[in-house]
Amino acid sequence: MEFNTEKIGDITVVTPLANDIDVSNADDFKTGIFPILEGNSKIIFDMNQVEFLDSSGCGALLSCLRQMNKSGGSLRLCSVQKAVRTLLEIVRMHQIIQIFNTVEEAVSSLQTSG
Amino acid sequence: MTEIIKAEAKLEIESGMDGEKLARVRAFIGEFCAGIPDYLFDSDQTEKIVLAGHEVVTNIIRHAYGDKCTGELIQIKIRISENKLVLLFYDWSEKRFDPLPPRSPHGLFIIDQCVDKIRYSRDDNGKNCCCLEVVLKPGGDR
Repeated sequence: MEFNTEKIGDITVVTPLANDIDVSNADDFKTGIFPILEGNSKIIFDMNQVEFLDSSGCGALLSCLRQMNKSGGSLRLCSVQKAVRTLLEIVRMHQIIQIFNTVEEAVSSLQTSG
Repeated sequence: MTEIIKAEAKLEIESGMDGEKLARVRAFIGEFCAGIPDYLFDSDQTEKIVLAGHEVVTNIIRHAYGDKCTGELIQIKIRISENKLVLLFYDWSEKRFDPLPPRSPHGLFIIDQCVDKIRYSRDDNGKNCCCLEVVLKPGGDR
Protein backbone atom coordinates (compact mmCIF):
# COMPACT_ATOMS: atom_id res chain seq x y z
CA MET A 1 0.00 0.00 0.00
CA GLU A 2 1.20 3.49 -0.76
CA PHE A 3 1.06 6.47 1.55
CA ASN A 4 1.49 10.19 1.17
CA THR A 5 3.38 11.75 4.05
CA GLU A 6 3.60 15.41 4.90
CA LYS A 7 5.49 17.11 7.72
CA ILE A 8 3.85 19.97 9.58
CA GLY A 9 6.43 20.96 12.19
CA ASP A 10 7.06 17.86 14.28
CA ILE A 11 3.78 16.32 13.16
CA THR A 12 3.59 13.74 10.36
CA VAL A 13 0.38 13.53 8.38
CA VAL A 14 0.02 10.17 6.65
CA THR A 15 -2.59 9.62 3.96
CA PRO A 16 -3.20 5.98 3.01
CA LEU A 17 -3.73 5.90 -0.76
CA ALA A 18 -6.37 3.18 -0.73
CA ASN A 19 -10.14 3.10 -1.04
CA ASP A 20 -10.39 0.12 1.28
CA ILE A 21 -8.41 -1.13 4.23
CA ASP A 22 -9.68 -4.64 4.72
CA VAL A 23 -8.65 -8.23 5.18
CA SER A 24 -7.13 -8.28 1.69
CA ASN A 25 -4.60 -5.52 2.38
CA ALA A 26 -4.45 -4.92 6.15
CA ASP A 27 -1.07 -6.65 6.33
CA ASP A 28 0.24 -4.42 3.53
CA PHE A 29 -1.02 -1.42 5.46
CA LYS A 30 0.88 -2.50 8.58
CA THR A 31 4.04 -3.34 6.62
CA GLY A 32 4.01 0.08 5.02
CA ILE A 33 3.00 2.15 8.01
CA PHE A 34 5.19 0.72 10.77
CA PRO A 35 8.48 2.19 9.49
CA ILE A 36 6.77 5.59 9.36
CA LEU A 37 5.51 5.23 12.94
CA GLU A 38 8.95 4.26 14.19
CA GLY A 39 10.53 7.50 13.13
CA ASN A 40 7.81 9.87 14.28
CA SER A 41 6.14 10.56 17.62
CA LYS A 42 3.17 12.63 16.45
CA ILE A 43 1.14 11.03 13.70
CA ILE A 44 -2.12 11.90 12.00
CA PHE A 45 -3.80 9.43 9.67
CA ASP A 46 -5.71 11.44 7.08
CA MET A 47 -8.39 8.92 6.10
CA ASN A 48 -10.02 11.01 3.38
CA GLN A 49 -9.45 8.40 0.66
CA VAL A 50 -10.56 5.39 2.68
CA GLU A 51 -14.18 4.53 1.90
CA PHE A 52 -14.32 1.15 3.61
CA LEU A 53 -12.74 -0.38 6.68
CA ASP A 54 -13.43 -3.86 8.07
CA SER A 55 -12.48 -5.75 11.23
CA SER A 56 -9.00 -6.44 9.87
CA GLY A 57 -8.58 -2.75 9.06
CA CYS A 58 -9.64 -1.92 12.60
CA GLY A 59 -7.09 -4.40 13.85
CA ALA A 60 -4.40 -2.70 11.79
CA LEU A 61 -5.31 0.71 13.23
CA LEU A 62 -5.26 -0.76 16.73
CA SER A 63 -1.78 -2.15 16.11
CA CYS A 64 -0.65 1.34 15.12
CA LEU A 65 -2.22 2.83 18.23
CA ARG A 66 -0.53 0.24 20.44
CA GLN A 67 2.79 0.92 18.76
CA MET A 68 2.45 4.67 19.28
CA ASN A 69 1.37 4.25 22.91
CA LYS A 70 4.31 1.94 23.55
CA SER A 71 6.77 4.48 22.21
CA GLY A 72 5.11 7.40 24.03
CA GLY A 73 3.82 8.90 20.81
CA SER A 74 0.40 10.18 19.76
CA LEU A 75 -1.91 9.10 16.97
CA ARG A 76 -4.95 10.94 15.66
CA LEU A 77 -7.39 10.22 12.83
CA CYS A 78 -9.03 12.83 10.64
CA SER A 79 -11.31 13.18 7.59
CA VAL A 80 -12.97 9.87 8.31
CA GLN A 81 -15.74 8.95 5.87
CA LYS A 82 -19.19 8.00 7.14
CA ALA A 83 -18.99 4.24 6.59
CA VAL A 84 -15.61 4.11 8.30
CA ARG A 85 -16.86 6.18 11.23
CA THR A 86 -19.86 3.84 11.56
CA LEU A 87 -17.52 0.90 12.04
CA LEU A 88 -15.23 2.76 14.44
CA GLU A 89 -18.29 3.57 16.54
CA ILE A 90 -19.60 -0.01 16.43
CA VAL A 91 -16.32 -1.33 17.83
CA ARG A 92 -16.02 1.75 20.07
CA MET A 93 -12.61 2.68 18.73
CA HIS A 94 -13.75 6.29 18.71
CA GLN A 95 -13.41 6.10 22.49
CA ILE A 96 -9.73 5.19 22.40
CA ILE A 97 -8.48 7.08 19.38
CA GLN A 98 -9.22 10.75 18.80
CA ILE A 99 -10.98 11.54 15.55
CA PHE A 100 -11.12 15.02 14.00
CA ASN A 101 -13.05 16.38 11.07
CA THR A 102 -10.07 18.02 9.39
CA VAL A 103 -6.29 17.79 9.25
CA GLU A 104 -6.11 21.30 10.71
CA GLU A 105 -8.12 20.31 13.78
CA ALA A 106 -6.01 17.21 14.31
CA VAL A 107 -2.80 19.24 13.94
CA SER A 108 -4.08 21.81 16.42
CA SER A 109 -4.88 19.04 18.90
CA LEU A 110 -1.34 17.67 18.71
CA GLN A 111 0.22 21.12 18.94
CA THR A 112 -1.68 21.96 22.11
CA SER A 113 -0.97 18.55 23.66
CA GLY A 114 2.73 19.41 23.67
CA MET B 1 -47.66 -19.08 6.98
CA THR B 2 -45.99 -18.64 3.61
CA GLU B 3 -43.51 -15.83 3.41
CA ILE B 4 -44.20 -13.54 0.45
CA ILE B 5 -40.93 -12.56 -1.15
CA LYS B 6 -41.00 -9.12 -2.72
CA ALA B 7 -37.56 -9.15 -4.31
CA GLU B 8 -34.52 -11.37 -4.33
CA ALA B 9 -31.07 -11.56 -5.89
CA LYS B 10 -28.19 -13.99 -6.03
CA LEU B 11 -24.43 -13.68 -6.38
CA GLU B 12 -21.84 -16.39 -6.69
CA ILE B 13 -18.15 -15.83 -6.13
CA GLU B 14 -15.15 -18.06 -5.80
CA SER B 15 -13.17 -18.07 -2.58
CA GLY B 16 -9.81 -16.32 -2.39
CA MET B 17 -8.69 -13.32 -0.43
CA ASP B 18 -9.12 -10.83 -3.20
CA GLY B 19 -10.09 -7.22 -2.54
CA GLU B 20 -12.01 -6.97 -5.80
CA LYS B 21 -14.19 -9.97 -4.97
CA LEU B 22 -14.99 -8.52 -1.57
CA ALA B 23 -15.82 -5.21 -3.22
CA ARG B 24 -18.23 -7.06 -5.54
CA VAL B 25 -19.96 -8.59 -2.54
CA ARG B 26 -20.31 -5.17 -0.92
CA ALA B 27 -21.63 -3.62 -4.14
CA PHE B 28 -24.15 -6.46 -4.59
CA ILE B 29 -25.57 -6.05 -1.09
CA GLY B 30 -25.43 -2.25 -1.25
CA GLU B 31 -27.26 -2.08 -4.58
CA PHE B 32 -30.01 -4.41 -3.36
CA CYS B 33 -30.49 -2.40 -0.17
CA ALA B 34 -30.54 0.85 -2.17
CA GLY B 35 -33.68 -0.42 -3.88
CA ILE B 36 -35.57 -0.84 -0.63
CA PRO B 37 -38.04 1.99 -0.01
CA ASP B 38 -37.11 4.45 2.73
CA TYR B 39 -40.29 3.79 4.65
CA LEU B 40 -39.12 0.20 5.22
CA PHE B 41 -35.49 0.72 5.80
CA ASP B 42 -33.18 3.47 7.05
CA SER B 43 -30.51 4.14 4.49
CA ASP B 44 -28.02 4.25 7.38
CA GLN B 45 -28.71 0.55 7.88
CA THR B 46 -27.30 -0.23 4.45
CA GLU B 47 -23.74 0.53 5.59
CA LYS B 48 -24.11 -1.85 8.51
CA ILE B 49 -25.61 -4.65 6.42
CA VAL B 50 -22.91 -4.29 3.77
CA LEU B 51 -20.32 -4.46 6.54
CA ALA B 52 -21.94 -7.54 8.09
CA GLY B 53 -22.06 -9.28 4.70
CA HIS B 54 -18.42 -8.47 4.06
CA GLU B 55 -17.45 -9.91 7.43
CA VAL B 56 -19.42 -13.13 6.84
CA VAL B 57 -17.77 -13.69 3.46
CA THR B 58 -14.38 -12.92 4.97
CA ASN B 59 -15.03 -15.51 7.68
CA ILE B 60 -16.00 -18.12 5.09
CA ILE B 61 -12.85 -17.46 3.07
CA ARG B 62 -10.54 -17.38 6.08
CA HIS B 63 -12.02 -19.96 8.39
CA ALA B 64 -14.26 -22.28 6.38
CA TYR B 65 -12.26 -22.69 3.18
CA GLY B 66 -8.96 -21.33 4.50
CA ASP B 67 -6.87 -18.40 3.30
CA LYS B 68 -4.87 -20.47 0.83
CA CYS B 69 -7.87 -22.15 -0.79
CA THR B 70 -9.12 -20.56 -4.01
CA GLY B 71 -11.89 -21.36 -6.45
CA GLU B 72 -14.37 -22.74 -3.93
CA LEU B 73 -17.95 -21.60 -4.31
CA ILE B 74 -19.60 -19.02 -2.08
CA GLN B 75 -23.22 -18.29 -2.86
CA ILE B 76 -25.03 -15.24 -1.53
CA LYS B 77 -28.78 -14.79 -1.67
CA ILE B 78 -30.59 -11.72 -0.50
CA ARG B 79 -34.32 -11.28 -0.31
CA ILE B 80 -36.90 -8.99 1.13
CA SER B 81 -40.32 -9.98 2.37
CA GLU B 82 -43.06 -8.02 4.12
CA ASN B 83 -41.23 -7.62 7.36
CA LYS B 84 -37.62 -8.59 6.99
CA LEU B 85 -34.49 -8.53 4.90
CA VAL B 86 -32.68 -11.86 4.77
CA LEU B 87 -29.13 -12.54 3.60
CA LEU B 88 -28.04 -16.15 3.11
CA PHE B 89 -24.40 -17.09 2.71
CA TYR B 90 -23.70 -20.65 1.56
CA ASP B 91 -20.45 -22.55 1.45
CA TRP B 92 -19.57 -26.19 0.97
CA SER B 93 -16.50 -26.43 3.14
CA GLU B 94 -15.98 -29.51 5.25
CA LYS B 95 -15.57 -27.35 8.31
CA ARG B 96 -18.73 -26.16 9.87
CA PHE B 97 -18.31 -22.49 10.58
CA ASP B 98 -17.90 -22.14 14.29
CA PRO B 99 -18.97 -18.75 15.53
CA LEU B 100 -17.14 -19.09 18.80
CA PRO B 101 -13.95 -17.16 19.53
CA PRO B 102 -11.01 -17.09 19.15
CA ARG B 103 -11.42 -17.37 15.39
CA SER B 104 -12.63 -13.91 14.60
CA PRO B 105 -14.22 -12.34 17.65
CA HIS B 106 -13.92 -8.83 16.29
CA GLY B 107 -15.67 -9.69 13.03
CA LEU B 108 -18.41 -11.63 14.76
CA PHE B 109 -19.01 -8.82 17.20
CA ILE B 110 -19.43 -6.47 14.23
CA ILE B 111 -21.89 -8.80 12.50
CA ASP B 112 -23.87 -9.14 15.71
CA GLN B 113 -24.08 -5.36 16.08
CA CYS B 114 -25.24 -4.84 12.49
CA VAL B 115 -28.17 -7.25 12.17
CA ASP B 116 -31.08 -8.44 14.28
CA LYS B 117 -30.55 -12.17 14.02
CA ILE B 118 -27.79 -14.59 12.98
CA ARG B 119 -28.31 -18.31 12.39
CA TYR B 120 -25.91 -21.01 11.30
CA SER B 121 -26.87 -24.38 9.86
CA ARG B 122 -25.47 -27.28 7.86
CA ASP B 123 -27.56 -29.66 5.82
CA ASP B 124 -27.04 -33.36 5.11
CA ASN B 125 -25.32 -32.54 1.82
CA GLY B 126 -22.62 -30.52 3.54
CA LYS B 127 -23.98 -27.12 2.63
CA ASN B 128 -23.28 -24.56 5.35
CA CYS B 129 -25.51 -21.56 5.70
CA CYS B 130 -25.08 -18.35 7.62
CA CYS B 131 -28.33 -16.42 7.69
CA LEU B 132 -28.56 -12.76 8.66
CA GLU B 133 -31.91 -11.15 9.29
CA VAL B 134 -32.85 -7.50 9.59
CA VAL B 135 -36.33 -6.58 10.74
CA LEU B 136 -37.94 -3.89 8.61
CA LYS B 137 -39.91 -0.96 9.93
CA PRO B 138 -43.59 -1.62 10.65
CA GLY B 139 -45.86 -1.01 7.69
CA GLY B 140 -44.00 -3.22 5.27
CA ASP B 141 -47.24 -4.55 3.81
CA ARG B 142 -48.13 -1.16 2.35
